[in-house]
Amino acid sequence: MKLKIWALCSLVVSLLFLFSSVQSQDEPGEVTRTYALTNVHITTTPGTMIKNGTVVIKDGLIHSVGQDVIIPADAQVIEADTMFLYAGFIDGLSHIGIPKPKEAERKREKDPGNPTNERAGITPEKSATSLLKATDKSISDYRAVGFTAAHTVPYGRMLPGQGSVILLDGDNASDLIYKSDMSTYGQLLGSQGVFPNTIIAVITKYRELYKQSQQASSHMTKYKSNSIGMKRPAYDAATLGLISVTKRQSTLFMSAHDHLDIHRVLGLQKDLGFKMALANVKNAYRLTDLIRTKNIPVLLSLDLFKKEKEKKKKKEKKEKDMWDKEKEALNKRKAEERKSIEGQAAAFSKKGIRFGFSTDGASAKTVMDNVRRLIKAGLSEDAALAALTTYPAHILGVSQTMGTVQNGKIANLVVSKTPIFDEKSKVRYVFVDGNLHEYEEKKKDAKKKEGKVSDKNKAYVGTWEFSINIGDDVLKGEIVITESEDGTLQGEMTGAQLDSTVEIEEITIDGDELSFTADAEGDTISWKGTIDGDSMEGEVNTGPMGTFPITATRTSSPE
Amino acid sequence: MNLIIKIGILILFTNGLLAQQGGSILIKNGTVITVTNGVIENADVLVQDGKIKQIGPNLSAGSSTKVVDASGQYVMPGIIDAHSHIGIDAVNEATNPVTAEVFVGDAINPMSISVYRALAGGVTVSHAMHGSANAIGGQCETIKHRFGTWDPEEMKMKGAPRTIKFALGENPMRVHGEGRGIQPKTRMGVEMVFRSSFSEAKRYMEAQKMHQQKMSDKAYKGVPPTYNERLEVLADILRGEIIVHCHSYRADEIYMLLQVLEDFGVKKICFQHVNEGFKVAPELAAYGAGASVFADWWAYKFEVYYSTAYNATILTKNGVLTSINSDSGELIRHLFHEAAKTQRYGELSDEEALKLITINPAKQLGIDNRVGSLEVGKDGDIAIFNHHPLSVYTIPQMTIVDGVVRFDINNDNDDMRLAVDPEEEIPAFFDYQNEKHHDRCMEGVAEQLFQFSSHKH
Amino acid sequence: MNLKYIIAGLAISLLASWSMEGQQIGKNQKGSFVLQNATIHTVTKGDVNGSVLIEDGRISAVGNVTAPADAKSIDCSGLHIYPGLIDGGTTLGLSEVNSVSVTDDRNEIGDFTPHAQSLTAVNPNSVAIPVTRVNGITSVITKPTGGMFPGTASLINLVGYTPDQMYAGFKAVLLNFPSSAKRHRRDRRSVEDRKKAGEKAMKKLDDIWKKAKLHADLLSKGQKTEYNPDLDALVSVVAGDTPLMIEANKKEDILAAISWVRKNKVKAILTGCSEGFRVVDSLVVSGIPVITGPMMSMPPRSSDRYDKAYSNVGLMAKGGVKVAIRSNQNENVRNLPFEAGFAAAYGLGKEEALKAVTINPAEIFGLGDQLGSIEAGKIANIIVTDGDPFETKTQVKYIIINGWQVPTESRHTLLYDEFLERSPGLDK
Repeated sequence: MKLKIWALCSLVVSLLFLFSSVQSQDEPGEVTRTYALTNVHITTTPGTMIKNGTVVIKDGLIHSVGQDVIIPADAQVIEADTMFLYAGFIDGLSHIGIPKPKEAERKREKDPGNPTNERAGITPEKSATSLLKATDKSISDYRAVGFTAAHTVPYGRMLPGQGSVILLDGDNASDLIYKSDMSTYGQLLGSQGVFPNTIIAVITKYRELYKQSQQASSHMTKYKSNSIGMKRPAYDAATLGLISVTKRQSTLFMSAHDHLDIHRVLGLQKDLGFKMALANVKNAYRLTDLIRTKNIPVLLSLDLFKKEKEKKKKKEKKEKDMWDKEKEALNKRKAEERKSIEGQAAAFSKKGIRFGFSTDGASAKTVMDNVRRLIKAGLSEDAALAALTTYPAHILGVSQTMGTVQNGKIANLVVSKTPIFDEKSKVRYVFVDGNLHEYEEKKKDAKKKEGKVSDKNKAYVGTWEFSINIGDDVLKGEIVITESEDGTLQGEMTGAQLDSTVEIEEITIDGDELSFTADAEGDTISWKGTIDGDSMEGEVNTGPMGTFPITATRTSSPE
Repeated sequence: MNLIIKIGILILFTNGLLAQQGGSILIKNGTVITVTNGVIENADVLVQDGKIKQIGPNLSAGSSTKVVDASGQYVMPGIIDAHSHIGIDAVNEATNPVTAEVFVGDAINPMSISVYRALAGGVTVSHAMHGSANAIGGQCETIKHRFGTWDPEEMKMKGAPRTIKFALGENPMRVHGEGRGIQPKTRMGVEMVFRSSFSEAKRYMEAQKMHQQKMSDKAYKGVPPTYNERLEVLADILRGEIIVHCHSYRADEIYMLLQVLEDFGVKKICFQHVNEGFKVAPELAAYGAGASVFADWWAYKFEVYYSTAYNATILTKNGVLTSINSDSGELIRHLFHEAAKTQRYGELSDEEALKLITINPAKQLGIDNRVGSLEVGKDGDIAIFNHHPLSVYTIPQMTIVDGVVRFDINNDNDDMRLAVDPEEEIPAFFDYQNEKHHDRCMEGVAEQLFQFSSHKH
Repeated sequence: MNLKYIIAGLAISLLASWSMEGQQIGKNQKGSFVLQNATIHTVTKGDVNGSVLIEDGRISAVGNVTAPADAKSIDCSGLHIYPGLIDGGTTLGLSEVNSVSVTDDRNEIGDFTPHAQSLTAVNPNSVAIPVTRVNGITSVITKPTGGMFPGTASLINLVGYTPDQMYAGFKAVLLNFPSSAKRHRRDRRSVEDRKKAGEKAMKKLDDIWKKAKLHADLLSKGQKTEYNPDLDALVSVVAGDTPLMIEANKKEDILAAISWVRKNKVKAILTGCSEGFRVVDSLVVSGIPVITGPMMSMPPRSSDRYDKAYSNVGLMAKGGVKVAIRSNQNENVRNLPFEAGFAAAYGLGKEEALKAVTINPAEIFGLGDQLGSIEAGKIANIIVTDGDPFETKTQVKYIIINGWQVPTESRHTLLYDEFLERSPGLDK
């Protein structure tokens, strides 16, 4: 049970931004939609830079780009002195804008061999467009790191549905849509508890469905031309939903993490002959030659393995025993594997394989750092930029309007203070569809550094190490509560079982009581504690899992 | 990385490239156990481009051919395991009593360290099978242990006949009947599943045939029966294109399946485990059915309580084509010893005992024209031992697949894994003794029953 | 008598004799035996050609013997005499059909049940017992499984109809030492979680031990304590009279167990030790004997050499650890000689392997003067074979356990007799 709770916690995590969007509904609207960014270094296409130039944006489009550009009178001039401007990034495959569905409580299936298509995870007809939510946090999170457009696909199992290209800005879901239902998304992922459950059933199901879809298509054609005396075609959403793939009108984007997955989907593709792109590729550095030969579009995953924490160097043992030596050899192999994975993008690039990126569930906070890791491992900055801009635009069929900084294209731009791939580079402005989003660096924890916390918050602020007693086991973690500029409390939670840091929300204080909630894969955990000096006791409610006692100790507190 | 390991891996990689072409090797001065043509003392075996070219004294080969001195050693055909689950990522699709359409060949995992460990036991070919959760399980794949390749396709023994797993008795009854209230819950129900599945497949074939025949008629406005992968596979069984391998224990259920197959005209059948096969040995022999048995497993569940370790002997003496299998990543490492147990339990001759792990399983898998004995023209799949392979003291020295050395005791080190987990600290210690020895056939079933995802993603 | 009755009578007697032959194991015989003209592998005193005299359940003479007139003479020309093999760890007799829970008496509920007595639940009529002994195994440790203190193991001879008839004079309390290892292949606990679980169990063990000591201390001072049958079972362990059999397999767990033993001054036997090869020096220094096996097992880590489980016992023995071998089996304890054979081939050597299933376990159990070798005065646990008892094709010709000549029959041989040439065959 314990595992499950924390497994739920592991995913898209709300970010604790050092930057936050200035735009707000409580402020006046924009005065003009014409902007001029001046004295900025413009990378128009990967490898081509105009120094100290100007970009004019008008009516949502790039109006002019260059060093001698006339600034329209109605323009709001942004002095982007010595900043760096790029085409907005395009996520090759993601779930941006689509709320993660809550895991339905699974009842034991009566007849797991014959589930509905919905239950079986076979919904190729499902449209990402219909699932979009303009207020989904992922949109602003990814935008804040420079993404302006994304190819977004539904969550799911084997065939989750159709993907759409969206712009990462808009008040309503329909505002986001750029190109609806332009692809089909597939995974080698079976359904829990029903057919197809395992990889062997999933692959065979692809084969069957494909042939059934071809049959249905030909039946429909015949029926249209002369239906008299002919059995009517059955309506089956899944087989019909796949017709665009069997007719090679829609590209099937197959999620394939490692070289085994890739061999498997290539096998399917060879048998069935659909148009395919590989997505979420994590570990395929051994297949560079094969991928180059096959000439299949590739999206590399930006969900890289976690960096190792730097360990405190232990005193070297004078005499290493057999096991120490064995461990050394094992760790060396692991390090080499990590190096190869980080070097994969560079290796692909050197072999002339073009690729884009898919964010694949990686937290928005980490993706650009991960791109920098790939660069550090040998990927050229131009190739990295191409993978974020021109190549995804190309395989998504939107090169006409996105991917470069050129007149007439949609004004999707990102501006950073220092070159975007510099280690500490910060995004300053993002334009999506000509709309400005400004990011200011917050004076990070200025107060905290000074140790000045308002008296009303003193009892709560600090680092709390907590334990949750779950049955026989104890889960340990840490909450850091800080005071924000406006005097309210904010915080984050980390723990042994959490994959990443989770923002805590709805913090309320009442005397010695502190309560808050945290979002863990759609499940809300609510915390209620009573503080006594530096210790806190209480309980945490995990929803369906039940309520468990907690104890916490404050290990650092304001002066 | 240790230099020796590095070299070892390098050799494996290079071998991987050779996987399908095959290598050349000359094995000198061994005691050559051909299995089908007796034992030849002080003889050489020459493999060229993956095939056995010559067997006899004083052979020579080109200077580029690797020469192995086998003086004082025993050279035998690579061991064949007619029942295993190594080298695959999924064993059971336990969601339905009939899943003929699934195919473990779609889930080959060439990185599995179990494959290397099997090689270290002289095993060159194994039958990677679907599990026994369903009355009609999935199709299986015959793999060659070309450890070192990363390409799952290269593990497949191209040209080997198609096979499929059936299962009788407790496993399908427990999973579907007891677990879900879906037939079969009894051995009667198991028979019903077979008869209805075959009957449905027959109707499907008839409908397809009818459609084909009428197609030429311009006035015909019919449509073909909806494509059904499951029925396609069942139809292929009826057409004799797939060998049935049936998990079975009790004499009555074995007899039942013989009746069903006879009624539907299915001839190719090999019973697996078949612990009570000895009780119906005359019937098995008369039908021409094979039996692939454990050497001595018994009493781990009720349907194997009335077993005998003399099973293989009784079956052999009654003329049933018999083999000994592992069904286990552990046991596959010493099948030569499992075969030797027939000398304790029934005093089979050396040749009879060795056939149980070479030519007989090859026949059961339909690959005896290529492997299972040392004969000119056959694949260069060879195992070399320091003592007679049936001695308890023997240690495999070298294992060769298609003329390529895949295991060499003198070039074997710690950590022969191909793949390394980039996040795992150190390969975890695993207390194998807590593992139930007999549950590989049911692997993945608990996860499916309780709906945990067993997929790594 | 009417002819009809005669025929019927004949038929009945035929049927009776058939079923006697086909379905039953013959009776055990006791008396004086002289096993003549064999090669005697004494284990402790080299190989001798000659005879062995057995009287009153014990070996009375070895070599040139003068047999009394009433001794049953068994011609062993060309055959070999060995002490009966001893398996240092099994669950024999505790479970009949493993998957049928009502026949499975191995695992009692509770983490702390040292008073669960395997000798209570051993089924003397288990079908697996004759199956085991016909392969030359005459005594085994049979042990409960499960929690931290699963119960008390016993050494039994594989002959007899009551536990007392079978009991061979040695008991030990079992301890599954706290572990941070993965429990099984699909154990998904994180490294940290496993470590924490291990630490928690360690604390529990220390708490239990503190109580056990207090309990034993008060009792020794003549004080009355609360009713604690579990702690009662540890009194003789605390006193150092009964050994503790401590199961530890992972390297760190073995080391922790060694230091725990040192700290608590317990008389200990380590069992399992599948990573013993990684801590040979510490094992040697500790002086604790090890019962390990099965050899036919997977290497403990995926990165380990393929033969690590085969060679582990040899590596420990070469370093100077006193080792015995176990099958850790239930229905297939009969594979013990093959386990020893594999151990011999992979580094232990034939001589040491033979000791590891005879005199070593006897000595580890404090029965070095009773079992484990062919010496005058010892209990008559003897097997007669046509060759090396570990060699797979060897046949066991005669078995004597505790002075009883036991038939070389089991369900498996009986089914062989009945079905080799089935009658009726194919005819109706």
